Amino acid sequence: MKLPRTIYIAEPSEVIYEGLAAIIRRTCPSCEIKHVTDFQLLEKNLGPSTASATVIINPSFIQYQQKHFSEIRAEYTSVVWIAFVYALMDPKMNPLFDHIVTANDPAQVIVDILHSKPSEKLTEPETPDILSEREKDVLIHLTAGLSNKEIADQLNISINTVITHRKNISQKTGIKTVSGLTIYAVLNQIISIEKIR
Amino acid sequence: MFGNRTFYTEKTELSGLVINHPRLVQVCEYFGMVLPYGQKTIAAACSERNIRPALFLSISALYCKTADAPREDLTPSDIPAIVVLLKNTHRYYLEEIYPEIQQHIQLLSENTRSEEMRLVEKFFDEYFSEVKAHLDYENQLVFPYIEQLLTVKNNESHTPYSVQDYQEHHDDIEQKLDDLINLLIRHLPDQCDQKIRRNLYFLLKRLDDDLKIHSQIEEQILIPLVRMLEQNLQRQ
Repeated sequence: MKLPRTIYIAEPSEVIYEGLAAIIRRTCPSCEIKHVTDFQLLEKNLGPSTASATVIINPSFIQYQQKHFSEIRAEYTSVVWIAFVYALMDPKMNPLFDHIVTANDPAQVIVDILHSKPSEKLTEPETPDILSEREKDVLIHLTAGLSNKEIADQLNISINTVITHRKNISQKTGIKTVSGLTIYAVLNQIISIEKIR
Repeated sequence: MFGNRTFYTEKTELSGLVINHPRLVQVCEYFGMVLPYGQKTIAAACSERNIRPALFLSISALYCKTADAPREDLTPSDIPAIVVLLKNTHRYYLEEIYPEIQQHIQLLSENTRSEEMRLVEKFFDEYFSEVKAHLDYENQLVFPYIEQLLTVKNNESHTPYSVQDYQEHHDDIEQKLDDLINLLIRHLPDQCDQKIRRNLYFLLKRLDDDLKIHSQIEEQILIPLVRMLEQNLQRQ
């Protein structure tokens, strides 16, 4: 089970922070939990090293700076943002977060979210479900049974680029195995069914 | 335990527990407890099967997703009951749910007569053989090894064996199942029968869920207990 290593709790109330922290520690004793009491402090904490952090945030922090928050979110795409709501929140703010949890939800809701994969985010970043031409090229070679190295040589790109393309292909299609991707490629007329016989 | 309202103990009636948590009817079955439960308490039902109520409640909590494994109060004496549980889940996979999924996929394939559906059928058949191979490996190698450990008095004669590749197998099995779910929900064309497709989806999700807990039991409960047992034997 992979849990995010660092969890920031941006919450002014000490009592609520302690409650959330206790719930998280129960399920993930090794998680690093950091309490931040205002948004500026959170921004300072989110350095380049916070690739896979999760932030549980009181929406009131960003009520009057939603645009700024959107920019921050766009900058840290791999951070999971969870709004923890116990007062009224403008529903228009919903899309700003990956998940929304209210104080009336069972504690398990938070735990489940922390356990969920990033691909299960509420709002997907703007990646259309369509593969780019380059990704299609990689997919065609992949279904032909070529290794990453062979694909890199054929397409004149680095292995790392091939790996990135593969990751994007899997993220867009939801399919990870080569045999699964082969079916996807046939269904979308990227390769013809005769090719795989 | 089990959500924030009710706290179940070994004095709770088994029927009450199962009525509030329907999926536990299957967990009971895995443990060899069959319907009807009558007025039996959890403790009584467990003692009939030589299961410690603490183990039963821990595993039940896992299936109800109200707690994470592992619990500190489990001991190597719980291993036989865990092995029974795992063997019964294997039987459920091999004899019930996988064949049922296979039937649904075959039905879809027959109904649409599309080449693409035939590919899905092939994908599933290959996947199913891999699963069978893995479950056979556990049934024929891992469980007998553990059972042997339980009966030896000292470390004179147990076969050295490693459980390293456990995790890898499980990841692979879950990944292909994930792919199947994604193909069904996101990609397969709409000429497929909606009802079969929906039922197939439910079956796949049920299997997916059960497999996840199954590997959790193996990796986070069984293996650590077996290691404990191995260490105890070495010390003798």
